[in-house]
Amino acid sequence: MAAVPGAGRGPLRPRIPGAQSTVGIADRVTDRVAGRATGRVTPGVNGASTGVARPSERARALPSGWGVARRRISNTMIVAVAMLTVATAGIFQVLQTSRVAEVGYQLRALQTERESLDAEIRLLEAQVAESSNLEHLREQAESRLGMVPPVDDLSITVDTPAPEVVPLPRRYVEIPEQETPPEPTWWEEFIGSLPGFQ
Amino acid sequence: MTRKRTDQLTWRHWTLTILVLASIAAVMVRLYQVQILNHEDYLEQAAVTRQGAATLPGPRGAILDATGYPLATSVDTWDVYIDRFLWRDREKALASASAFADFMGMNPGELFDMGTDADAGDVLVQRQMDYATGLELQERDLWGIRLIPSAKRIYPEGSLAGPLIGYIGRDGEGLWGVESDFNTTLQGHDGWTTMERDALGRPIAFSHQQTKEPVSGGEVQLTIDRFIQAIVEQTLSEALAQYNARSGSIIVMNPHTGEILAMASSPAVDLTQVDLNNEDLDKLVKTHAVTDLYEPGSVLKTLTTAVAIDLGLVGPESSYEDTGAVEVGGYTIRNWDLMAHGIVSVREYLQQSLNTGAVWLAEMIGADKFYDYLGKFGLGESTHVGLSGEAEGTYRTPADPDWYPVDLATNSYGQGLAVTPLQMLTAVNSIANGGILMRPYIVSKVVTPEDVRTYEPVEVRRVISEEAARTTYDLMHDVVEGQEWGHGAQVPGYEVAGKTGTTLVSIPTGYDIDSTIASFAGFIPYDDPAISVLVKIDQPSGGLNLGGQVAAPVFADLAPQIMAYLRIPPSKPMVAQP
Repeated sequence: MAAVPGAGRGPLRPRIPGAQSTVGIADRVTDRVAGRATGRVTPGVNGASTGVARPSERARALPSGWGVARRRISNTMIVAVAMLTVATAGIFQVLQTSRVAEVGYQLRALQTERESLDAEIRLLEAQVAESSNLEHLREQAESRLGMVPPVDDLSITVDTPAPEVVPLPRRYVEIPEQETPPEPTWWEEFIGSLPGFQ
Repeated sequence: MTRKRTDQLTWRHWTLTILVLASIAAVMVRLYQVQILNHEDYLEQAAVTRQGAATLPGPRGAILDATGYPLATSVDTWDVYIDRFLWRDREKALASASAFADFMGMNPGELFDMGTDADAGDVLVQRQMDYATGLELQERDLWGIRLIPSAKRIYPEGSLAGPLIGYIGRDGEGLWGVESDFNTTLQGHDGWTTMERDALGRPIAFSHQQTKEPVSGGEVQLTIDRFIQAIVEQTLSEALAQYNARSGSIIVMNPHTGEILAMASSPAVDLTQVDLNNEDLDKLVKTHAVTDLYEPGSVLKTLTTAVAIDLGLVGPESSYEDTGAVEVGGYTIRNWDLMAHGIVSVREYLQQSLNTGAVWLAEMIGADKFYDYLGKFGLGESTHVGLSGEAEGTYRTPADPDWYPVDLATNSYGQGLAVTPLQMLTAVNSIANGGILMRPYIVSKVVTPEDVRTYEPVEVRRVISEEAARTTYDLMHDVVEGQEWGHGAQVPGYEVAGKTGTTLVSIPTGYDIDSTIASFAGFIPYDDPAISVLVKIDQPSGGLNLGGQVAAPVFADLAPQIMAYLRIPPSKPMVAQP
């Protein structure tokens, strides 16, 4: 175990938490156990303990089972797993937030596009209407097609029925059927059930 | 060898401590100023900058003709404002004004002055900017330039059916006509969305957002057919010019259903050039065929005759002796031609439109029954056509203290009572459709986001028997087609039923003998009438002023055009003009 630098030069001072961060917890536990077993701890300057056992005074062998337990679930492992879990959760949260932001942005863009397209549709319908007004039709018939108002009417009865009048624009008199959205797939339902993806 | 440190605080410590404390104090004072003293101001500024509510326009619905063609519809536009709050940053405002002026073709100095004026509120720079231009401006992202969605009403057929369609004010409310009467249906409801904005006022995509969806206005489909309406308006306009008449109205209906296929009045407002400050605007925007009363004259003889036949008092060949005049209550009533015609049948009386014949029939009918029938024909009551300003008409009855026996006589040939042209045609329609009074209607369908309402023909009541109706209808046919010298309402290739009317214009002191109202009510084709038409020409002054001289020829001009449009072939051979 590392000692606090300079600790031996002055009066006894408490250890600074975190100064030994490079040393694993499991090692410290081992050292303490070893220290207790020998009853000798290397003194530091002014009698302060360094907490480090001398190489020649190795700890006795641990009771059977201790070493096995230490290898199975070491504290390092637990900490690593905990950190990994926290990191994964953090990354997931970041991904989730990022996804929400992305979808929100897309949604906003689509809404704007829809509003713009709706407006454009209304403009185009108005243009269609203005292009088919009676004055315009007459003008086109006379100037472009060279037609003139009839002088003599000649009525001939035929068997073929006259074509239906097609309203312009059609949407005004026909209500479009609402399209039913397709059923979501299982993975869409799963993604949708996750918090933040609804 | 190290120098021994003392535990005493040195001047450096004190200086550092004082500086730190002073800094903290300064920060706290500023915080107090910002958070407590000027809390409200900063809160408002932050809200203005950060929170924004955008309007989601709910467009006003269209007014359609019978074929689905939009007679009035709305297109999206923008109202462009300068945000004075943001233009407090003069440097950015100057740059923005320059770019904005360049875009708008305006003077940058004027724009800058306008936008940096000390007055509160945004400055409207342009109303109803073209949608595409607005998008282009929006893409330039100019500092402090806001575009608010708005809409412009357009009329693809121009002035067609102007008084009927109506107009909307700047507040989007209908001012008259269908725009006003169906304002609630047509009006869309704007939605809104609140969102956080960045410093430039642009919406932040993933900020907290609340939205209320806009609701589009409903569509109102009229029974008016724009092709027939155009024919009618054109014919009316030409007739007024030809006969030098002051005004006029023409209505075209389906006599079987009560559908109004066209309804025109002249003079009328031009929807493309509405001057809201025009003092005569209230006259131009009226649908005169619904709002104005007139004395129908001899057209009403058809009703008198129908009543007498329905009561079984006379038949087509029943006769009376016409002496040219008849005394009623001390008044002498004469024929329009001031002549005596001797023994005259009901058929002949109607053909020659003799007042004495109508008086003869009315006296046989009796006052109570006569007025009872007038009520059944819908005179004196609203037709419930659904247009505002409809007049109900008026006539006196024996129950009124100022009724005199002569009223029955004059009423029998259409004088001394007032009706609207629509009332008159609706009443006459019942003769052509087998005796049933059909309610006139002008709206056939209303489509809203919630539902579709379709208006069906409504039978108000049976007025006369089917036989009486058929007999009277045949007599009306003889009026037009059964005269040796012809009739002004005859249409080559078709058979017509109808009746003319001429009445003097009533003035406060009585009648103006120099002014007439010429009218004609007719049906075509006679076998199975597809349309009924009422032509009313007010005060023709070109030498011709009788119904047969003025209104009947207008019908004759109008009817074949409508027949061609409706693809109803002639029923008799047409002879080519040499």
